[in-house]
Amino acid sequence: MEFKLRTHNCGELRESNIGEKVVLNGWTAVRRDLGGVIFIDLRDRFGITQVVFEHTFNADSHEQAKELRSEFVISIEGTVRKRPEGTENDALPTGKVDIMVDKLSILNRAKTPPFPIEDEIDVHEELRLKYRYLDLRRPSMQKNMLLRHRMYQVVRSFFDTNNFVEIETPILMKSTPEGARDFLVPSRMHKGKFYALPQSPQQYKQILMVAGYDRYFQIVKCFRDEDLRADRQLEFTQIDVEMSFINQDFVFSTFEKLMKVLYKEIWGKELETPIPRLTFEEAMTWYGSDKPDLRFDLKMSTLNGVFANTEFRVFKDTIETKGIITGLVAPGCGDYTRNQLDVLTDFIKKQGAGGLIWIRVKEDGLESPTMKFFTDEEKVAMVEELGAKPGDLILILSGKKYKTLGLMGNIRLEMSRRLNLVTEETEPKLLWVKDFPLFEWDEETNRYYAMHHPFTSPNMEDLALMDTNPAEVRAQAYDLVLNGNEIAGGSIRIHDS
Amino acid sequence: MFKTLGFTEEDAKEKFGFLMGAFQYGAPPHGGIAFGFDRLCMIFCGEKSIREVIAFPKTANAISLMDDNPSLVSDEQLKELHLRIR
Repeated sequence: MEFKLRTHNCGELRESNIGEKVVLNGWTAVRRDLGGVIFIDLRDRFGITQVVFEHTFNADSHEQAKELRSEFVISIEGTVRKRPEGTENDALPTGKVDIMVDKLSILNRAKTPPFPIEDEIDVHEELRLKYRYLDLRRPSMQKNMLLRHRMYQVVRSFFDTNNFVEIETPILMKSTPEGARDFLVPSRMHKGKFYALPQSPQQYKQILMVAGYDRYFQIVKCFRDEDLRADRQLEFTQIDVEMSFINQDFVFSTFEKLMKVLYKEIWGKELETPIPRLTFEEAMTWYGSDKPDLRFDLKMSTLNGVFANTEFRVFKDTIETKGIITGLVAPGCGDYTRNQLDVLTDFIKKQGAGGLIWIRVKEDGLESPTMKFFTDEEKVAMVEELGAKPGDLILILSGKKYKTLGLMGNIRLEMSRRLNLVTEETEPKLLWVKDFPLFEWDEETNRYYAMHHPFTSPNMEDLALMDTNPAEVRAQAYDLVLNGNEIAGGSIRIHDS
Repeated sequence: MFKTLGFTEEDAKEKFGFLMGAFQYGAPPHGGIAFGFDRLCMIFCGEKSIREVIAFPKTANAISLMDDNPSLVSDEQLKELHLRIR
């Protein structure tokens, strides 16, 4: 099919173009047939321009335009005109003008799409994925893809400016069964042998440091053959980085700079640096998570001190077994009904909590079935430690330290949802979490696992504990956390044997 | 380190031998980081799922619905690769 190359894209024309002869190519988005005149919204990835087929202006093309349906691919030639008074569309950058069509070429017809090509659609995701080419044609998806493209460019330019070298590492690599399950690729030429797809280019990037490249980065696909719970993909993209002759603080300041650029270029926001740095221990104790969402406060408090001499058996056992008693104040939730509290209790019991202690803070005291176990001093000390006020609800969990903190962290998130603490307008919150434990004890296999990977360096002041108390050894490992999501993780490596 | 992880020296050599070998030829102190780019894009786009910022994602069942992937392969392909499906 013959057609003319476009003179402009569909998002380009303005009042300054009025009177020009133009050629536009694109998809038929919306068609309105008013009898003597047919309006088409012509769409490409740059925008939408209204084109007009008027019987009195050009009878042939008007006749032809009657055939047009959703998603037909067309090419038009015509003249840009100022839209008649009162018909401008301020929602479109091109909304002050439209095009009077002289000539229409239908380049391709289209079947009726299974869902409309527009932003707000109410269809099952599976249908969108089956017709992904149509889904990706929707402006909102095009916006996402373009923003992702923008981010590649910002990231590459940042690394280039800062003396990093982009080096590709192999996709067919050696299987190293530490970590998640490898994707294996059978070798045709070496019977019985296999390549593996990288879970990360970890070893190659360390080799590149030995080779003297000093600063390496790569935007790279990685693969993990795991069950896809919690919004993961078998293949995913990593910005992979390794640097020589640096320390942890240098890593922090470097990537705060990268995030500053991304904030500015993508969001138009100013990121204040340095950003907060919490230790793993602080993050767990205060927020019950190693990737805390700091967009809202809801800080947890440890109550072991308050109940040091308690006669309440549950707390007494916890303290004796070196567990933790942790409390959280849900502000203004003191009017929660018994039913609401049961729902909350069920929510956390399903995740493995023994039970949830709740206390309504009233003007004239505390209201809870558990109150009979607490002394007056304990009540006063507890309220003070938690900073609870009348009208608030106190929630308490006790048990094994990290498990219990994690459970309270989940209650914290649940309460933030119930209290609607995060809205579209809430400012994003970025922080480092550092000093992770070097080892993680696995109850099932009765052995330690490297929490990051086996080349992570311990904190130098903890070296003496390596043989005596490995669980207490902290690593020079760190995560970057944005709005409660772990967006990056890394470590200083062991470089001597 | 490997001792605490319960690796024998042989284990460690088998898995990380080439890296440990390389380290004997002048390894500088180094460290690094890796960003989950999909999740980063998701947050910057204000989306709730990484599938919204990946052009051709797989479902939670690890299937690509558009091209019906994964798929069966021919017996010839399997034979060349010295594989038999049990």
